[in-house]
Amino acid sequence: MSLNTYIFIGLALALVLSPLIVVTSPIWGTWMLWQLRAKRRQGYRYLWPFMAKTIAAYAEAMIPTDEPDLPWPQVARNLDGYLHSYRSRRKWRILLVAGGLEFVPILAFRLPFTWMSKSARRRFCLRYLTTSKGVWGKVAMGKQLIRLGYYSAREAHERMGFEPTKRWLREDAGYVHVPPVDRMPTVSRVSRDLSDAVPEELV
Amino acid sequence: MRKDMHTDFVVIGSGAAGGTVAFGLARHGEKCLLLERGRWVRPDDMGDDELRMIAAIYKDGGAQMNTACDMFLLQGNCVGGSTVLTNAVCFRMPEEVRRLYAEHGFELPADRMEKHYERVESVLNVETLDEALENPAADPLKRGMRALGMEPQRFKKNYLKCIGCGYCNVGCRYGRKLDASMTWVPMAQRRGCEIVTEAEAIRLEYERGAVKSVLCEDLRDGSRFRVFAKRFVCAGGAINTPELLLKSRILPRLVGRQASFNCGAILFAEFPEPLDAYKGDQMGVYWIGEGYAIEQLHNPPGSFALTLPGWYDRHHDDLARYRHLTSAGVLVPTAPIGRVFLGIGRKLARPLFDHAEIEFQIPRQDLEVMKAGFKRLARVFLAAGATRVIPPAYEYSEIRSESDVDVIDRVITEQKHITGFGSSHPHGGAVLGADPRRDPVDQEFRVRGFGNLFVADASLYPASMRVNPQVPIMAVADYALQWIAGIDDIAPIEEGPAFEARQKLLAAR
Repeated sequence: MSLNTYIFIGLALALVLSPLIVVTSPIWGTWMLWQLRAKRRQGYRYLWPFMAKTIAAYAEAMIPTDEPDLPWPQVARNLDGYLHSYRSRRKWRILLVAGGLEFVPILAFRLPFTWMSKSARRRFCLRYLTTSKGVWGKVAMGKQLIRLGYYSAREAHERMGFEPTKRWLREDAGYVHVPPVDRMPTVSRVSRDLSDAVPEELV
Repeated sequence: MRKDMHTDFVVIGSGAAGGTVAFGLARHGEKCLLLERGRWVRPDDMGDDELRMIAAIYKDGGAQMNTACDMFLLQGNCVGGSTVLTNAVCFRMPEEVRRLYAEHGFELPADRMEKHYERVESVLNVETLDEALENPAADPLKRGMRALGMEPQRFKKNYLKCIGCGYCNVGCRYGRKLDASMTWVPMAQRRGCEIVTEAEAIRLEYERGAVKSVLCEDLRDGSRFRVFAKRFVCAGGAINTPELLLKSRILPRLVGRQASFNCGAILFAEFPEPLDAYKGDQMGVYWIGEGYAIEQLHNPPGSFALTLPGWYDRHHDDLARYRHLTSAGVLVPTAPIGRVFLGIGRKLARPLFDHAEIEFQIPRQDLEVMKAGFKRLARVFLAAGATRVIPPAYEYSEIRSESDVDVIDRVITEQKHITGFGSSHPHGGAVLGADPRRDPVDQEFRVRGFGNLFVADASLYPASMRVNPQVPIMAVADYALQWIAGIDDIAPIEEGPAFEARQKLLAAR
């Protein structure tokens, strides 16, 4: 089934349970207001605080080290910046995956994700979130977010043995930093930048 | 807030096709306007922070997927479009593909196209990659290929003195990749073409077979404006163009069909000695045969971690061996069975679903070709001295000897079993052809039933190109100018950064 199908099932379920949702609205309404306030207070630009907490917990469960190269909440911060900085009409699906991860353990008769102990979270991940199939597979896609948020951070590169370009680039390769340009330069300026670096094989 | 605009030609999309068309129009003194949804990201705004750059230049932050969420579709979302995030790989359209298109009614005369390729390649400065720029993993890959009787070839690239930093896929911060944002678009701008960025074409407005205007949203403030013109050129790429036509309710039964993809996935190999494959160009060598291409591809850490198979401890431990690991991809052209459509969700909950959906599952026959490619690549790595090869499968497995190669048949039986399965080369969706009951675009690049609406991008192609398509897309767009604006120009283009660099060098001598 596609993600859209799951979304429609979720919406249909919400419709069926709408009386219950209305009755309990003071509870979740208050919780949402509290989340929005916490979002502002904690400086998140896109993620809700509970999602950020879930992402940090997922990162902690996924990446097996007691000495992370960057703090787990920083993974959520990195992803918050990433999600905030691009425009897309599909972006809310990522929120759905991040938010869904918090509550999906309930389907397996477990506590919400961040309520579990670290070891229980890890056991849950290993048991359910190592598949590409079904609803678990859709939630497991969140692993890509964690990988992006953690391993694209410079702090994680040293342990991998990766050296930044400037450390290994040959000096004779003609490294010339392109000077600052206006936001929309004329082509003559672009050309001038480039013509400083003319390869001999052109002629 | 932008006001309504008036021009003669509107080009929607600034990538390989849009940039080329805009320049062609501006070069001949036509009044034109280029619309682009993304920002103009200059080299100085780029960097090696993968997360930031993926968000800045990829459509949907690199997370565009098919409906089943088992296929990534990577496209650009900035001035220059997908050319900004390519590995600068340049091929011409293979002859057998050109013939296949001709059978479909999409005639591209070989002698005429030769001239367009020459023009495009001159602007892009297409040259064979300098061997010194190959990353260190190219040597073992070539060794392995030769051991199996395959002759590796070095890619042709559109660089101007590349320094081999290994970050092509997140935009060239050194300004050395001559993508559309460094060539066609500023060249068109210099000749008077107006560039309007961060503006999304929402709908084409028309009456009695003539498009009057394109309704746009200014993404900076959400306001709307219209661009009125005499002719309209759709060049947003193989997903955006069908999406725009469908949203405009233009030929909904034909548009979005016949979508095909150059699909691929990446195999990883570990070598006993550190390779440091990140030190150099991401893509150095390739081999084509038996229905697929094997292309070297080594990613910087963030993207590498995204595509490396394995879960939890295994994944983390493998990444600790990053210096010993390298990777290469298998690229397979697929049958045109994909579909771009506006789902029912758009009617039920428009704010959530106001975008095109992409439906595609690789046909069984193409999957078998891809698996054959994986097996051959695994053998290449083993012959090169790899201690283990990791196939791109959700069920983690390792190939340590020839007897393990068939594990690929066990762990991959469907598309959803392949990790990192995706395509950066979508084709079709607004196909050009001879059959009005099948192809929404006629043989003069005109959308059927409309006198002033043209398509110039990869959505025209009735079948997958089989190779990285940026140069053919540009050449075909250049060719299409004959019908779009009556411009019959095959004279050399003597301007642009590569030309100026050549002139400067000649003058210095």
